[in-house]
Amino acid sequence: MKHILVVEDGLTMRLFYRDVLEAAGFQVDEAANGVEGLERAMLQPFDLAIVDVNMPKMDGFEMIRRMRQHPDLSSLPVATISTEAGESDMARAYAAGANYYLVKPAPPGDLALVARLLTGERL
Amino acid sequence: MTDQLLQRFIPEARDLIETSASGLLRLEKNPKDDAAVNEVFRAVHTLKGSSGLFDAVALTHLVHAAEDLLSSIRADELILDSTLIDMLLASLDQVGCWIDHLERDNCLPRDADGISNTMARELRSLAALPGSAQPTDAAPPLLSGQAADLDPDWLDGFSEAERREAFHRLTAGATVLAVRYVPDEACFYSGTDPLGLVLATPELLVAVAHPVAAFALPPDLDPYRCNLGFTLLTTADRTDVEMHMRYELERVEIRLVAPNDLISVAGLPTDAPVWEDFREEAGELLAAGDLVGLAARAATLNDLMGPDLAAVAALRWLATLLAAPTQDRAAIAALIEATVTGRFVAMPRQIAPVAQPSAAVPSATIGSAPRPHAVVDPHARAFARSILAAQLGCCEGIGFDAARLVAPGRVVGNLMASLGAGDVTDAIANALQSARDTGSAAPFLRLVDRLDAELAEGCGATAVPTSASAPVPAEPAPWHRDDRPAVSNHEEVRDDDARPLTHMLKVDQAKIDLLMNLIGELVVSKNSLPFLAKRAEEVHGSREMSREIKEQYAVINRLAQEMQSAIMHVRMLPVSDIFGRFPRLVRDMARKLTKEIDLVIEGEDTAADKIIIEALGDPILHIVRNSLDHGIEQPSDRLAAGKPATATLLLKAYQEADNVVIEIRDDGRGIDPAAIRAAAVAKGVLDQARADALSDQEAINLIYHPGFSTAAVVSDLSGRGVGMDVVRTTIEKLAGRVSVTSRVGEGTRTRLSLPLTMSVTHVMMVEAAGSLYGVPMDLIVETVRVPLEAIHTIKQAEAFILRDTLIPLVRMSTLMAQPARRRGDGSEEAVLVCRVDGRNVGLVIDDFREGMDILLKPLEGIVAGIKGFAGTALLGDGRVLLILDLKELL
Repeated sequence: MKHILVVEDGLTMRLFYRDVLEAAGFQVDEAANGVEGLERAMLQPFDLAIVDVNMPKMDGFEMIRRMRQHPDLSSLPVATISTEAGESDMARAYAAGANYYLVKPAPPGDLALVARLLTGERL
Repeated sequence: MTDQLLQRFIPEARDLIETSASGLLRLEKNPKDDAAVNEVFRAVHTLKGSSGLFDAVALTHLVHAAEDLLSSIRADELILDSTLIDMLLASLDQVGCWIDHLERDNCLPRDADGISNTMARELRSLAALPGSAQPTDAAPPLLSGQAADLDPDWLDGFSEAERREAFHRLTAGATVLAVRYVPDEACFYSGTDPLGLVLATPELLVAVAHPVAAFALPPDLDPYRCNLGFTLLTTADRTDVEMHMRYELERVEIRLVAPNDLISVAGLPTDAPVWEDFREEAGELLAAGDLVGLAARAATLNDLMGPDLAAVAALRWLATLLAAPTQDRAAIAALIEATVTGRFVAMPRQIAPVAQPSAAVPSATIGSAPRPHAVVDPHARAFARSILAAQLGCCEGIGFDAARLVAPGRVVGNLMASLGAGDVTDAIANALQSARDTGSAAPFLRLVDRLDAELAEGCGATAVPTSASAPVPAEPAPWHRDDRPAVSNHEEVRDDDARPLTHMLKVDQAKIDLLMNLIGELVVSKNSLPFLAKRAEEVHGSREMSREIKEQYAVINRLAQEMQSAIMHVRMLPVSDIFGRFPRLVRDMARKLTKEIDLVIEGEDTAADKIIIEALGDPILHIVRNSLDHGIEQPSDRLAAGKPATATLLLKAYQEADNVVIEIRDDGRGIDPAAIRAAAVAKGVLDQARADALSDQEAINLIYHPGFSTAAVVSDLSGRGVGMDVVRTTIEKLAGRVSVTSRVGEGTRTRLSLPLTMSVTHVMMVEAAGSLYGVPMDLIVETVRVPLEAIHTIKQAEAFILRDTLIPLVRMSTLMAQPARRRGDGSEEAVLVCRVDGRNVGLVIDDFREGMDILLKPLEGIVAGIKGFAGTALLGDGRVLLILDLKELL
């Protein structure tokens, strides 16, 4: 079973991701901010990280930047997810090392689809 | 799923609102507090994100506006001032109301969309004010009811007959709204049906469509872009229209239509002299008030002249106006004028360009592909292509970094595998290798381009030709599963329900209460073990058994106590739960009273039992209100008294032994004991002589006297006293104490002291008048044995001296109306020194017994009225122990 790390400070959003992704056959771990996310990502291998941009303690950009500097995490597919439908945020996310940029709230079907594509799960 | 999500969302939203509000208050004190700006922004941002999951468009919309405003503040484009903070707080309050509504009815109130739109526009206009960068964004005030609000060209598209129809409705008493709706160019992709929406408008009178820009000619014409705007007239309520258009409100403008707005005079010009004559005659008739004559004259002329003339259009309107229930003479005069000029000018009016919503708005989901259509496969493929594009995006523009290509490489591999498009791992590995060799990302980018091109053609074959078949799965596409409502195995999936991160558990209070009761019973029933041990020894003569029971009792006793305190802690809440609402309250009140107050909060982490915390709110509120109302002076008075203009109000909590202490301290004018004495005498609480005999402190304590707390006294006093006895009653019900100290001109300090927990009472058993009684341990100061000769009789009363203090003695037997038991000379009396109402009293009893924890049960039923007892408790051997209420007895 593919393992996804969801890094998001909103409790409701986390629950939403968990519901959607678990229903799509993924195992889901959660972290509430960038620091926790980084910690979790270092502790065990994941197949995908879904990272919110705006978070306390360490934002998503910074977290991804740091992940990319870590040898074990440099190859982890990362999708950022944000309410900002702005080009500049998207550019920042890619510059930080994200592989995809999703806009909140993503329809459940799309979210699961992107997760499958990014983790290599057969459609 | 939605229900459960909503249940999660509601408390989260409340927390976020709370966080934002307290952050805003901090910002008001110190606008440079970046941490607070970030905190508020983040809270509002999260709120917006989460609310997007629910059908609460109005809420999201308003929060979004607030977020934009905060974002400008964060970027230092905007200075936060009190107006902005007021507006933001008002928005948060509104959102809070909606959250309550959501919780209650699962939906927003009907007027939410309108309120949201108005408030959001206000927020946005505030945000746009200083920069004036986007003047068109600052929409005009919505509904002032002034005719000038409506730009005349709004109605251009309507025919005279349509206008006349609307005019009739208006003069018949209906309100007519003009609605202008300019859909997003890309609206066809977002499932919006603009025409359907317009035509379904409630109580629609008439609607017209008009191009937003000139239509392009066929080669350039993009039929998938909406180039139409709509203007419609309706007699529906504004709320209904807003409700109807709620998803498009940002693109909708609504104006109230005044009768004169509808009048338009258009047609062929004429310069026939007959019109000059008419103007003269009609003017005279109007001046003479002969409207009937005027109507007749106009009708005659109307019959004679061709209908295409502008002047005749004016005549027709004139007839309409004259036939209306009430006549607008100014408009009639203007129409008469129009017969000559061919133009209707009702009143000078500023014609401003219509603020058009900007046409180009980025599509809702950047980075994702067009919205799903019925066919699934193209949808997945579109996503796949957009992911590939993103891989290009993240490799370009950062310069070459081999390490940075690893993740995109893996993603591309996953993607192809996911689509069943064959194994491209080798191709990717090769591309990455040659990228490293050449020091350029180009080989990888070329590969991605190629894969993308293949995907675009609809066949994913690359390395392995056999899997060249299109990525259409034979079985129903698996991602369909996610679209199923509510995910049937939901319960199992969420069974553990523990949020892995917060490590917090939200538990129904009733469950904790049940645990609390059970442990209470356990604590009491373990008390039966010593009795059992006694019986083992005395009745069955087994000393060894007795000892073993006692050993076991010690173990059970310790465990029970630990368990009890653990459960107690579960119920403990931090004082911040009540303190938290004061910054806002004090701020609002201070503003209302034009006083300057600095609220200082200390020790908000101090915790106490839920019951205590919950009950403390009102008393503290009372005291704080009193302080603000009466204690703290106006800034000018304070300066005159040599104090800083800004008063300080301190809310402090700390733990003192088994008590939690709350202190409310102000540096206001204090309580004047002389005024209290005078008021007490006037009120008949006590007579002059006794009032004079009171110390100042005792006089101040009078404010807690029940007879003292009426509004009349307060106004006489212009001091404190509003319901302070209510404060005392509440606190004493919780077995707490209130004390006030005050100095005139320096301020007042109120101290509330309450037990940390309350469900289990610690009592000492005493033997008196042949029975066992319990005395609450917190009242007992000490136990002493007093030799009979040390007891002095002063008049009828007895007393003894304990460490240089005279302590009056009261005999239990007297209190219980039992015959006194005299002891022989040389013996001692057992005296329980208790503190009751601030004084020490010695209670003469027969003997002391052990202390124990009991569950206090109040007296019920026919014994409920008996005075002198706080309640009963069950002893381990089945007997009932009466707990004395010393305050009542003494």
